[in-house]
Amino acid sequence: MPESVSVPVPTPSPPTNFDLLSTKLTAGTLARKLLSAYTSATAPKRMAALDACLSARLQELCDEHESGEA
Amino acid sequence: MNTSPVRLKSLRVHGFRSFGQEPQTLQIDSDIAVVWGPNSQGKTSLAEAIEFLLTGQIVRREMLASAQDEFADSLRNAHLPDATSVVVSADILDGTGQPRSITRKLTQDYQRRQDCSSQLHIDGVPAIQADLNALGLGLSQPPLAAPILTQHTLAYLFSARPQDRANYFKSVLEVTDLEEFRTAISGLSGTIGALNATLDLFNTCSNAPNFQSLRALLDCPATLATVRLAFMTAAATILTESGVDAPKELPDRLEALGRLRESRENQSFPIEGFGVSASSTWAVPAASLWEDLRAYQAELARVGEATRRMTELFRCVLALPMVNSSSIAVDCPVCGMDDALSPERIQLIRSRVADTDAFRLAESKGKAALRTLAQSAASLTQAATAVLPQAIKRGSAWRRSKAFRVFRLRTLLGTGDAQLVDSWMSSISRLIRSARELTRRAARMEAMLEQLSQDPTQPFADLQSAFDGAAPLRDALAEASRLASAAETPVVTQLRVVISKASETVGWEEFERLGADLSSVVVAINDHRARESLSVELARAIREIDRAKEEVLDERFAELSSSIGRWWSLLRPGEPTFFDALQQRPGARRTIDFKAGLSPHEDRSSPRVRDVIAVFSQSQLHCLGLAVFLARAEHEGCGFVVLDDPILASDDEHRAHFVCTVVEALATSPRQVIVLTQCRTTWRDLGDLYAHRDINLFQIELSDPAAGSLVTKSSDDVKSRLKAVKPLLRNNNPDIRKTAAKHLRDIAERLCKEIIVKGKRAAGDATAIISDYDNKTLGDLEPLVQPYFTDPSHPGKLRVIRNGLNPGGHDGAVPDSGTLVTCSGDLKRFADDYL
Repeated sequence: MPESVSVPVPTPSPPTNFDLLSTKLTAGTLARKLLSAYTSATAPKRMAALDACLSARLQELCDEHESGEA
Repeated sequence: MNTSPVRLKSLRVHGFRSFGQEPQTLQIDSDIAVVWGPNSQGKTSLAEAIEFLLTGQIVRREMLASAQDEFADSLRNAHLPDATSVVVSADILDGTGQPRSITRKLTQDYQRRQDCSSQLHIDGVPAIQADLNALGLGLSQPPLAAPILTQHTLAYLFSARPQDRANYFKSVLEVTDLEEFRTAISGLSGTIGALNATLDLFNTCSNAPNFQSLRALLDCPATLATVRLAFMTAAATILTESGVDAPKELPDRLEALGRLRESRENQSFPIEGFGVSASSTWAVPAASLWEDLRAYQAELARVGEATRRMTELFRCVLALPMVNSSSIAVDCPVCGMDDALSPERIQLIRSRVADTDAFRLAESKGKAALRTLAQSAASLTQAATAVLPQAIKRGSAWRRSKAFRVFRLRTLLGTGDAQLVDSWMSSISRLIRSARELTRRAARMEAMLEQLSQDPTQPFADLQSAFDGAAPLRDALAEASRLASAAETPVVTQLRVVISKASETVGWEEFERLGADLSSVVVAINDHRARESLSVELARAIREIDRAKEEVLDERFAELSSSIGRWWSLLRPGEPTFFDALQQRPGARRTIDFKAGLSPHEDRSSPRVRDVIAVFSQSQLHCLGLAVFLARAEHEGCGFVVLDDPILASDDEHRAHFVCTVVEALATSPRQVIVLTQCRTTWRDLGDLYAHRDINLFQIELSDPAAGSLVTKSSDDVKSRLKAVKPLLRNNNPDIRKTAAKHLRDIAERLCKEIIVKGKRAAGDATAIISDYDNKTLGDLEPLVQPYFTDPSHPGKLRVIRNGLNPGGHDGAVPDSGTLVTCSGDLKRFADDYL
């Protein structure tokens, strides 16, 4: 008989407010992207992360308009 | 990583509020500690000492905002010398179970308009507030940051303004991170509409009557072809309407349009008459120039005119070999005189030639200096002219022919811009004066230079002074030019607007500039359209985030509401009026309501819901404040809570619930609970109920304000009471000895009860408590305690104690001192052996 091995199961962390907020936002929307950018950055760089996210979206829109897709 | 709750192991206070110079220490080795003291003995000072240790402040000052001035010098005990340190320190077990030491020293007490300041140390090392978080001592959001409930904080939630209450709960629920996120997102709106110079031009142009057709370009993605076509069409329309043939190519059409515009505009006012230029730089001539001039004059004086003329002849003679290499006198090759050129004379000729070489060099440098100075003087004249506007440069004849007149300018601009014209006029007058002065100075310098060139031997000190004096005049011209340019710009801008309207050329210039760079127009239009789309998306994102945030908040409120309800039920079980919910007011998210359920039935069925403020009694509000505080502590995982008189003294029923169920729930949560109470019954009951948890009992008293509050540990109650009764034992007064006997009998009863309960618990009866033996006399207790004695002599000694002390409670003989001392000694030994 193989000796049974107990594997400790880590206690899951309670969901943060941002985790909860994320579940309530529609996938693919700008809101979701901004939240992702905000939570991925450390506190001092959050505004820069949001700006970068917005700039990236602006570039996408520019490309769409230039190609006549919009 | 913090995994275990923080525990307070000891607290030391000195100099803080009611505490004196002698440090007071509370050694806490239990999950429950109770401090008893009558009013005004230092309980609240003790609670605030812990608050000060954790936050560096006392929140009472903030809550009594109107009385902040009155808190000046309030943290230091008023009876202590100024130099006395005010320090609160604690030993804790941090979130990892490690012992840590925290100390906070007051460095500046509250002043009338100024916060206090303090120094925080952790393990003897200077620390900042955030370092407490790393220990697991995370604090709540202000104002109720510390896990300390006092009377003033208990009432805060019901007296706070709705907005403050909402902010408080949002802080408690720790959703301020979502608020910060929302604020950051809304701040992005301002960054989308970034200024774009080309789009600005386009808007100005396309809003003009002649170019409104260009607005249609904004309605769909722009390409070079569509933009070119729109510009070609607009230009052709204007030219045709003006009777000008439209050229085939756009650049030609733009050029034709430009000519037409200038023609029209100049008919209104000769705007080319403006144009103040910036003054060019000019530097005072280098000092070396004057040195060169001086050296030139010195050489002129040293080498005579005759010598300079003979130099070439001397060179020729010296070049002859018979002269150059002769060491004896030779015939003169010029006049033929015999032996005329002796070696001494040849040497003299050589020195004359050398002198003349130095002269030539000095002459060359001196003349170069004169030329440089002449150029410098000329450049001043040019600078004085160059800065002037065209209307001044071209002279009065031009101004007359073009009707460049100030009164006409005033008429065109109207009275609204009269001030602009006045300022411009004033600045131009100053500029002209400055230019004239500099021109005169430059002319004088040029005249002096001319004279010096004619006769280089003349002194030139005046010339040098004239150059030196030109620098301030040149600086004055530069300043006048700057002011005139600044005054001219708004005049020209306004004039262009007026001229454009008068000549019906509004937007033409912008059109020409845009037409010269259509690629930029395409980029600007598409960029603008993309930004518009992004603005719409961002507004939609903000709405989505708002909705999601409210849902998160509702969930968090529901969690907290459930927790409050649980604590409420422990405090006030079975009441038909009960706490129902904590919720955001629908339609007014900045308002948080406490809702009460009013049921006609004991099972709380069919309740009517009302605001608690309107329907709860003072006692109920008090309990709700406590329930909210405990729910918050639970929510935030506080390792310990400090409760300063959490139950009204008159509220016996709820005091019992608090003592029996709330403290038990806190201690098993597991959460360390420190209760400060003025109610001796609460103190005693807690001591009895939680003896099995080794509850720590303290007393606090303030008999001498200068000495400050004194804290004594009284968990070993029997011993402390024996100590208290000791002075009475040998007293000659029978009444006093009678009182002593009564105290000893009470102590003996207490001792027996504690031995019995301890024994029962050791035998596995965890429910055994002191109150099980209420109303039992020493006679009743004697047979019950005997099984727990381990010394065979002790049953006998207890019987002697009972017999010896019993008369003290009756009308019989009062025990003598010897009996009292013996009984007291035996009781102390019992306590030593069995407790």
